[in-house]
Amino acid sequence: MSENLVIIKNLHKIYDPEGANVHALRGINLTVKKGEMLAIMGPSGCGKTTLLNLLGGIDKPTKGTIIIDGVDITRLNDDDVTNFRRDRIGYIFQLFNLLDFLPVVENVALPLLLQGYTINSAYEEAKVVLRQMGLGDRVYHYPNQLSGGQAQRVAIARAIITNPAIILGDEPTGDLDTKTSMDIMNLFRRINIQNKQTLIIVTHSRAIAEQCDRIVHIENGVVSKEEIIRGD
Amino acid sequence: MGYIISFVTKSVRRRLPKYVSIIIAIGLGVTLFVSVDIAVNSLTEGIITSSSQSLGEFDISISNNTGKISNNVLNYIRENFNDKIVAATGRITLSTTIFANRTGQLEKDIDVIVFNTTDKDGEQKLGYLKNIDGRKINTTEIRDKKYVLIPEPLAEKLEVKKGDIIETNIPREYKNGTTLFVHVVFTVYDIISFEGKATESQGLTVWLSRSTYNAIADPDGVYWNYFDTIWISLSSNHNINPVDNNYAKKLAQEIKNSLINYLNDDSDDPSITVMAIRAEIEESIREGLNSFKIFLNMMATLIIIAGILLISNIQMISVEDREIQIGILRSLGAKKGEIIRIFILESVFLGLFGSVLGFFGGLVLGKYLALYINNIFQIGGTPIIVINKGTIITSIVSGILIAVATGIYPALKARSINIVEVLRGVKSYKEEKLSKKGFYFGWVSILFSIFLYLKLSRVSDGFILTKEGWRTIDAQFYSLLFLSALMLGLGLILSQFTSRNFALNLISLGYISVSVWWFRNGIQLLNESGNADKIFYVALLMLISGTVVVVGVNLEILGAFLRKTLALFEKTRAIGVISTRSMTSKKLRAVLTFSIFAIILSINVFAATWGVSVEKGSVDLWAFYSGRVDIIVDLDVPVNPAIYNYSQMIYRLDPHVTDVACTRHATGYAKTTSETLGTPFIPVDLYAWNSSIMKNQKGEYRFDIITNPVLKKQTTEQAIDTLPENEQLNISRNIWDLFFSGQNFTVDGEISNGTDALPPVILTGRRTITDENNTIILMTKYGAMKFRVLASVFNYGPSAFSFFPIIFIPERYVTFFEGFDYINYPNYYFIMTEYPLNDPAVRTLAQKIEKESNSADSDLRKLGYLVGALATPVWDYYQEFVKIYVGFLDFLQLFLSTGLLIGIIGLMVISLRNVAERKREIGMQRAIGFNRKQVVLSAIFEIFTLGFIGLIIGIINGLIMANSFTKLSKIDFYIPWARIWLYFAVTFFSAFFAGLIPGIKVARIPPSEALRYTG
Repeated sequence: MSENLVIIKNLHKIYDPEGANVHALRGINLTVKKGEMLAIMGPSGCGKTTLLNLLGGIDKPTKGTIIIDGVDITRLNDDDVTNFRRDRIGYIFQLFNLLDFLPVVENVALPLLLQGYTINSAYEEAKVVLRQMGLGDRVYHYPNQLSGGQAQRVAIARAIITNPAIILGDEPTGDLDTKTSMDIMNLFRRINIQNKQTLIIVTHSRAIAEQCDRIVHIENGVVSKEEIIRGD
Repeated sequence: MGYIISFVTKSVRRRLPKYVSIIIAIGLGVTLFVSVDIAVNSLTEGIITSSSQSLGEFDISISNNTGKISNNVLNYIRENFNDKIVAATGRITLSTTIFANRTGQLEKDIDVIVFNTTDKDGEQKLGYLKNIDGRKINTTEIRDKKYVLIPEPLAEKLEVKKGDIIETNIPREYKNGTTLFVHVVFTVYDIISFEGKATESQGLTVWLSRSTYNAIADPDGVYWNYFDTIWISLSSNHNINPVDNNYAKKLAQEIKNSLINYLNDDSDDPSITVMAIRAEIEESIREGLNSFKIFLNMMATLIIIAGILLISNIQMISVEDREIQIGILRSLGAKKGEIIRIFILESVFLGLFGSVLGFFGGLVLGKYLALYINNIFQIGGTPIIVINKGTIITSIVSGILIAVATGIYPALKARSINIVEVLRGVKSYKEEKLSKKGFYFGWVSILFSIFLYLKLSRVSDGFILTKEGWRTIDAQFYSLLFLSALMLGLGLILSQFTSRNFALNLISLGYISVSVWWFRNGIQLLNESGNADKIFYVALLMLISGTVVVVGVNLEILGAFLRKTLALFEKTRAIGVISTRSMTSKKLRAVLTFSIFAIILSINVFAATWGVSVEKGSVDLWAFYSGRVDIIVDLDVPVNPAIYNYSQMIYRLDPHVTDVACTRHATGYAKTTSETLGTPFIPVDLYAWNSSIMKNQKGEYRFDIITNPVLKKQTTEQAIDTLPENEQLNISRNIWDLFFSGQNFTVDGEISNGTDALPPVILTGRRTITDENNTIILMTKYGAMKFRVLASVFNYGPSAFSFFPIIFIPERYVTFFEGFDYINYPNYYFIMTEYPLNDPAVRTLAQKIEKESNSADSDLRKLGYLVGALATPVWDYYQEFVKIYVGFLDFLQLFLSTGLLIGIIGLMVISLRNVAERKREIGMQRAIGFNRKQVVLSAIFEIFTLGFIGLIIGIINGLIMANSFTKLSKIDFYIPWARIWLYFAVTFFSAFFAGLIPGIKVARIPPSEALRYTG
């Protein structure tokens, strides 16, 4: 059995928009093993995306700890958590969130540039990954010139280019048709197997979730159920 | 329409905080127009009021070319125009020096007003003279006695009181036509209060009875019944009953026609001049200040163009911000026209807000502008702030016009959004060819260029432009317009067959080449005519638009360069990619942003460079123009050299004096031969020379002939200033020899003694009265006479500074003109020294000369001469000129700085909106690893780059223009480093804070929140 890559303990998140005091997470406890492919499911507003944002360090929990690869990211300051995210986490969004004004290659190379790669080496690396994604002929296209599936593959390329320990996907197939969604999931599985990277995907779709190793159900801000789909 | 109004009011109310910057920008534009309006109106009224005061209550003046107008004319006026006029009175006015015995004070250029104490007509109707205690002065009490009345202002200057003794010179005229100055002692009978008639000439007058004057000045009793001017009043109190200018002018013409009949003057150029002087002065002041107003409005327009770019930019951001809203409206059934109406109506609302803001801003700025201009031009007095209906209309109309002008393009953009794309949230950043409309506009532009070429061929030599044909204002103006339209048309058509960038590059490089070429070669015309300004404006616009577009089109290349540069450093690599790509992705917005700075700084740097070059670089030029003269001495009374050798006195005062030239100077009247009959003659300074006084001790002519370009053709076969120096000198000597040869000349310049021969004159200087007919009309004792202009001399002492044009006449013709009696008694001295022009020793010498002439214990006074000498170092004239000129340029820069303010606000607003609009992108950047510092640096770098592009374009354009102006004026070129550093600092800090503040603001937003932003 692999070691735990992510350990979440008693995680709370309360939003306070204009005094509304919304309790999004009410004490999540969860572990994710290294190399695991985990799906998080639940109804709208249950706290799935909040959990993912906290895991990615792009939001701060109200209470609780998140230990990723031995680092409690809730104790890091903004710069350190940013560096951690840059080096150890890959992020994929439902709406792709590519920068419209950058060509595909620069969108993908950006995380490497942040890590200090030279322009040439970052671009070369980006081209390699894009070719792996089947986008060798779209390197200098702009995001608006891509289909939804292609755009998401670019987003995946950007997420994996730094070889992060963990890849977070916030409904990565939510904006795609069934066939493209399955293609993307196959891609995730390939990355998961080839690179031994951990994937945590938030989804509404049972079919997508079933492509993962385990499904965690969240309701009203707490883990309500876990299902093992494959593996030990 | 109802729902549109409701939609617009709600939208404006909701977005009001976002619209504040637009309202401020419109308000600043309106402020400029309103302040120019208020400042110029206030100045106009102020100057008119003070000029009117100088005229007392008089409206019409009657004079003739002999300076002697008969009492019969006065009687004729009174008899025939009694029902139309309030009063008519005859006056003799002399300008002289007054010396107060008790205080030793001496005042030059004081008007002695000779008035008829029996003249009850003018006296009673125009009010009585009162003394400072308010007592009515019985003017008959000073009849036949050596008494004078002095108004309060002069009494204060001379520090005299009732009963004091003053001395002056009165010209005495004899039967044989000769004139001598008589030294006269008067007693101050009373001090008159500064009101009514005593305000004439600002109260710097001495009032003398006609009978006393006649006894002194007219011993032979020849001119008893003559005046130099008859003055007519149409109102006894202009403050209460002002006179309509048109009525005054009509009546003046009526009087003139009537007098021509009465005097049986059937000559082509009647000797009598009847002028509605108050109306003419008022109109010329209005006209003069109107040109100034037009100039300021031109500058304001340039600033407003920058403002329009800013507002359009913000409006465009607003459209992009509201794309989804527009998409929804369109999908719900709103028509394209309705979308346009929504945006235009919003603009009108914003324009109204801006108008109100601008009106009050204009009130404040206008007041300060009026005071500032008043101070620069030493107008004096406090300007009366004038706000009329026009000002209010200006504010409303300009506000709405600015707002609508800036709303049109964004409205069209909003109208043509792709509903599907915006609802899907897709943005495209691909280069497009110019649309078909551009193609058609290209053809329209070509057709317009053909029209301009036809105009050009009419104003020049024909269809093929020759070098000579090019040398006119209209030819150059239409040439530049023609080339602009042609290049634009060809470029737009070409753009349909090639890339847009290639076409725009061609157009903009063409504009830059033509404008720079004009600044290097065509600009000379500006020196020759003040009306050439319009060519300057066209070239300026071509240069600015060319440089802005060429940089805008090639922004990607610049972006790539910056990206590569930033890629050299590990910390800036990612920032470089984000900021440069973001900058080039919205090219139009980027261009609009930096062009605000480019426009404003082009003019600012030009004004600053030109100012510092004039200030520091023109000493040699002035030394040249002054003919190496260091001091000019003007005596109000000619001195007989046999009794007192004034030149020797000057040599004696300082051994460094190398040369003293002296001549006689008098006022004459002239007009060009191309002016129509009946056109009034203008005053000119006449200088009489013979060859011996023109030559120095070495026997060389003191001043060299340098032709006026307009007269080149007529003077020599070749332009003198293109020849080697020794050949120029030879030609110069030949012209002087011809001038002094005693010969007359034909219109073609041939020596002739025939009936077609004309006496020669030489014109001088920068303020010439000439046209291309190479002849000029001078008013002589025998009527108007034509003279042949032989040449022009530029480098002649007073010509650089004289208010009036200067004309040299050969001494043999002095008898033709008034004021040259006793020609060998000089009243004008030019002193040349070994000192540099700006050496303090020159001023010391000038002070010594004045003391030696004006003080109570001077040798001249001991000999019984009362001479008012004014010894002015040429450096003082220069300093005075520079002070006013540089003061004006400083004012211009201050005025233009309003534009800089617009630029700074623009940078801040655009940066703020830019960053706010990209919250989601920034959230994404944060998600993939950008830290807060990198987000802030990206924002700063992007806006910084745009600000600096504007700065660099502005500096280069400003220096190109100023360099051309310095070459044109033959002055040294100085770069105003201090100012350039200031602009650099302003750009640096404004760009820094413009990027920093919104950058910090957005970087503080948690990425998870930023990622949820949807606009």
